[in-house]
Amino acid sequence: MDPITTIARADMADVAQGGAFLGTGGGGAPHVGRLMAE
Amino acid sequence: MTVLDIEAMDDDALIVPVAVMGAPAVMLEELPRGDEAVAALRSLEAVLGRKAEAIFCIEAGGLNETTPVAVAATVGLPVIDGDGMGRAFPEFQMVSMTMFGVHACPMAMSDEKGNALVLNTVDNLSTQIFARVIIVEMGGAGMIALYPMTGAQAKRSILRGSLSLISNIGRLIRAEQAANRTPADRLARELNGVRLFEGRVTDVDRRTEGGFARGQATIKGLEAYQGRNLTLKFQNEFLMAETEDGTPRAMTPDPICLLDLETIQPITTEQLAYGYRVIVFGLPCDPKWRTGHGLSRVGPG
Repeated sequence: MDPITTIARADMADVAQGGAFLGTGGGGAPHVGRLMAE
Repeated sequence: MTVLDIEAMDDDALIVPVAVMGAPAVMLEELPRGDEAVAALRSLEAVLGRKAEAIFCIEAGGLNETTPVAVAATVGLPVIDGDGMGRAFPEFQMVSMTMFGVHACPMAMSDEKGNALVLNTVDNLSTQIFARVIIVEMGGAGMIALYPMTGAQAKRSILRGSLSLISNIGRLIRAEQAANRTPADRLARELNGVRLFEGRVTDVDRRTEGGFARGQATIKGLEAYQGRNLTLKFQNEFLMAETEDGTPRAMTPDPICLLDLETIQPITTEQLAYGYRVIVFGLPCDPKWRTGHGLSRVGPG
């Protein structure tokens, strides 16, 4: 998988989705952080 | 916002992880005000007498992956492509930095009421123990800035590439959804993982105690798994998957991840409820966790 160099507003959905998966069921709901970032 | 490989940072640069601490269920009921994490960062900077030059994610998952991105965007700093866990763990001393002697303190904590505290403890486990008491008094969740480290320390101790990894996982899931395919096979293949089970959630026993969401869920097998049950035990994160005769199928430190088969959305332990139809994945953890040093901190038992 390729390294990323920037995160734009439009990328936050992918970050939240991927974080929810790799979070092993934890770490809290990533969409709250996504809302704060957006 | 810029994402940097840690090698791009000077050895004496100050790298600061920011995170949310507490029970995930609390965060679902009481959303953060929005500036608490920046307040924690500023408190830590005031104690250290210098400004952070990059923000870091303490864990590669959930709110603690997106919150540092929000903080970095707010304060105009880059975020490092890496984290301290390669997944999520329930306690913040369970990070690769602990294995390499990086101290969690000084650690700043803040809440939505405007309270801010700074801890100094003798070791990272003590930091976790005292901070957990304070978090309970803060209402069950709060924002923290901790593990202040130099670029040189970070280069030795962090797990690399996790922000890229989760971004690529999210993109993969979205692409497969758009193509009307389940992403299960591609996820398993590209992450070197295993599809452990598929079934319907028939029971969830969950309680919030000591600032953690603890419990277990039972999944009744469907399709190829018909006639079998899988039990998932969790403490904020899924820690163990075992068959009905108690045989482990996957366990910490390897990540255990769930996808909702109807919506193709990942499922967290606080969302898990009766009736969900799920796929359960087992993924390999970062090799640092497979060492004796790593297993003694995050392994079973």
